[in-house]
Amino acid sequence: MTMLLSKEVWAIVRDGRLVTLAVALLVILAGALHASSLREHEQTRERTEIERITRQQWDNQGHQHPHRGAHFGIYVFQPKAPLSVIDPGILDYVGQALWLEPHRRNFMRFRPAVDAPPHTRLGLPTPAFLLTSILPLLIIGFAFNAVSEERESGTLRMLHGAGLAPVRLIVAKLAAQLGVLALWLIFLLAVTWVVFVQAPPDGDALLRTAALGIGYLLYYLTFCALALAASTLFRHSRTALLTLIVIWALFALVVPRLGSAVASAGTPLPTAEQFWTQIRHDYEHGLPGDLSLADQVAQFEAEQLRQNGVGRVEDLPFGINAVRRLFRDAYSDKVHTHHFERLGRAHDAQTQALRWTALFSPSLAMQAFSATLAGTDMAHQRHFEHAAEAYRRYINTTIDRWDADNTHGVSSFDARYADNQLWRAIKPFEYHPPDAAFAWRAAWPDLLTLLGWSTLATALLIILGRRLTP
Amino acid sequence: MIRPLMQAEWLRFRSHPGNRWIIATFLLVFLLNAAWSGWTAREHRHQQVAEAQAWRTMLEHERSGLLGTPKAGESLEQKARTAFEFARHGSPPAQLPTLGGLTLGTTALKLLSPVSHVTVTNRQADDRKSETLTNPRLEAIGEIDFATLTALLLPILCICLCYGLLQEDRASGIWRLTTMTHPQAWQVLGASLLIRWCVVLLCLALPSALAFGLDPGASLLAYLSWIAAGAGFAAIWIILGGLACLLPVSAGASASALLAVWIVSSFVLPATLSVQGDAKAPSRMASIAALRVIQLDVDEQAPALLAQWYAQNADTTVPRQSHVWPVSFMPRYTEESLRARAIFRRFDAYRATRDSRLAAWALVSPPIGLLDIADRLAGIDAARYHRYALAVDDYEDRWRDYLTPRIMFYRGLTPADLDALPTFAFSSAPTSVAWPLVRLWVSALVLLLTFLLFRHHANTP
Repeated sequence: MTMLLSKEVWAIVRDGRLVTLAVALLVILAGALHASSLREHEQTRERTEIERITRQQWDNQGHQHPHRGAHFGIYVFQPKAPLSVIDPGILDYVGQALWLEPHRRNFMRFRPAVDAPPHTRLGLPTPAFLLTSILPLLIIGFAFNAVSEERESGTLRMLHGAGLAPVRLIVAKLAAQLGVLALWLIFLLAVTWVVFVQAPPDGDALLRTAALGIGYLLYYLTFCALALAASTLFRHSRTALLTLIVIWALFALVVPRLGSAVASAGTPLPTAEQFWTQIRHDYEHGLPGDLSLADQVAQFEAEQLRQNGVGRVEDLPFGINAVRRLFRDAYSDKVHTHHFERLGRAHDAQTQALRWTALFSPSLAMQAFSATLAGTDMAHQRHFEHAAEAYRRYINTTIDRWDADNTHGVSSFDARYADNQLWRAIKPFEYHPPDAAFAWRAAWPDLLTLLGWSTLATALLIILGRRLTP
Repeated sequence: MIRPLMQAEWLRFRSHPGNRWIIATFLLVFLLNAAWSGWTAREHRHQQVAEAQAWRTMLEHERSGLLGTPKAGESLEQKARTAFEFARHGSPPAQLPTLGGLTLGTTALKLLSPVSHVTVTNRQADDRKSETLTNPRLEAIGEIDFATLTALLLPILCICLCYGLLQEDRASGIWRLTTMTHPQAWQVLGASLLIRWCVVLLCLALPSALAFGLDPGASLLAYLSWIAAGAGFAAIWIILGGLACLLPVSAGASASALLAVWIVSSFVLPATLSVQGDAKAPSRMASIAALRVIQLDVDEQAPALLAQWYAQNADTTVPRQSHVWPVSFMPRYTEESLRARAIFRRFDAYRATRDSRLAAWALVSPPIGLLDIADRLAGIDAARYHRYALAVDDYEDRWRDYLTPRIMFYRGLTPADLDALPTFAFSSAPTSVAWPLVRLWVSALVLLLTFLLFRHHANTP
């Protein structure tokens, strides 16, 4: 078997196609990684700068009504994960900044995709796109005639005559192709870390990179096995190649989009108008089972008057406007949580539908797995948004509590009695991205799908290999 | 001579089982794509009608509220606040009127904001109702979009159909026979390429008819323009397939070369071109800081702006001397919005300039040209969207001018006021597709001339 394997490796190395394809792809990938790295670097620099400026603007609002100061708001920015150089995932389709303001939870704003040129709809030539969509085409390019050529040239008959079991030959070809791809991939990932990633790798990043490498190897195993299976099944190289190109086009270009469309139609999302109108309605009229906001506030005020033994809100020993805001915002948070969770469940249902579609395309599973490991998927995005929402509540609660403690009764919204001391008392936003275990928990269904695909493709190859006749 | 040649090649093409199943597979995908895109375009048009209807219902509700409630006890502040709430949240949807080729760009439409809600506050700081709620994961994958899938798959279909046209015949010895019986053997290759072009065109025209047929707003002119673009695009790839056949390499190697051309022209070249221009692009991140500078600046000037507004409208009596929110904030909102608008319009203007620059490269990257034509036919190209954004700004000015005095003078709203609300009108003509079409066909003609120049390579056995 070792001899057979070494023969196959040498055959691959001697074949000019592999060298040409590997070098061509490396050049394109290096270009994509370079562009991606420059973009990341520029975005990180700009984000840090804007973060500093906006914080400075917040800190120096000067004399202001505390609630109006809170309405000026703070922008927070999601730090880029190191592996986003390889796979930017959903980053171009979520906003770049999140505006934190009282009463309302916002979506991230300024999606780069909105400003992108039309050709990006064909597919962004990111390293992940090249590795997931284009590399399989190149695998097909050098594996489609691996068996049929031996048959056409008569060497298969000679090997058969020498007593070699066809399945052993095919397994050796598969192992050789995968070995070469593994070496190529390790080289690529190492170069990516050394040359293109700005941050030095830590344990977490290395774990993610290793997992990503395993995912890609399983994915390439699927394509190598399918290419060899087609080469084994069809008598002519032409039929094998055309079949594989069509399969590739379906896997990489058609099924993912079809899956996306089916997921979107299966669980339709509300329009922004409907979403915000519903939140406003539920805030004013109450969620099912709750009183209307006006009734809740009236009850709350009556309770405050009773507890403090006064007859008018003007006589309360604290700022009633701020306390009322705290009460109303707590209800607003409840309403927002309700609707955002519902939207999150709709997103989850769509993701689940995509996972089912991945049973018809390993490319879809690979895309999901890669984005999750790179920290650029929905799970990581949601983690950031939850942290930002907790921070938003902290800011507004802190300011309203200060307002309540420093005023009495009713104060005018046009009065300016807070100053920089209050703004600067708000702690800066510190976000800690989740660890590799979090990514694993989110990615295991996709890994399972990849495992399923690679097992199925290898099994198909072995079955066809056993039936192979010269 | 040509007629029997064509008949013979057609028979050869038809009898090849590989050609039949490739065409069947791609036709099925194109039909699915067409049905989905046509249906999505139809849904979008229905949604536009429903949005407009929902607004009319809301307006009717407001009007009956104004008629039904006795207003005698309403304070000045309440009147101003009621008018403010309506002015802030009650504008009709200012919709981007899409064109007859909408079915070609349904995904691109979702990325834009095809509907805007003008307001009297600062729309640039808070434009949540004009946002589009999407699942970023689905967007990153890309949905089914007729023009996009055509730009991606049509070249693959051409590459498959042109595989080994000459090389396989040479390998089997058929070509030797052909050159002996037909001294101008290249004409045989030309005939088979022509047949393939017609078949590919049919694979585009039939699904396109379905897609356009499903969209109630589709137009015949848009369909014909699209077919003309598709014909040029298919011609480019078929001729490239023919040129690859003339190369002195194996069928597999020539197919690999074609796939490499497809990868470079569809992904690498467009990305390189757009990266080159990125340095000049305005930054959304920087706009955040600029917006906040305006907010702080205007906040400082708020009392002066308020006094200035009343001074400029001194001919009307003001029923109060001191003002609170929202009245005290109105001039500030106006100033803030006008200044912020200038920042945000730069993005639309830049997109229009950049897309026009990129479209000029369609000569070497046909997918860019095809998508450009599709966007223009759908009415969602960057230049037209920029004109739409300017029209929305103009509408917002009229909306503000009409409602602000009703807030500032504590007049509130009457049913008659609601009857005379300003309306949004956008009558921009479609961006012409003539030049992009010419560019696409020029590319095809250049390739055809190249093929004719090297045709003698086909005459050797």
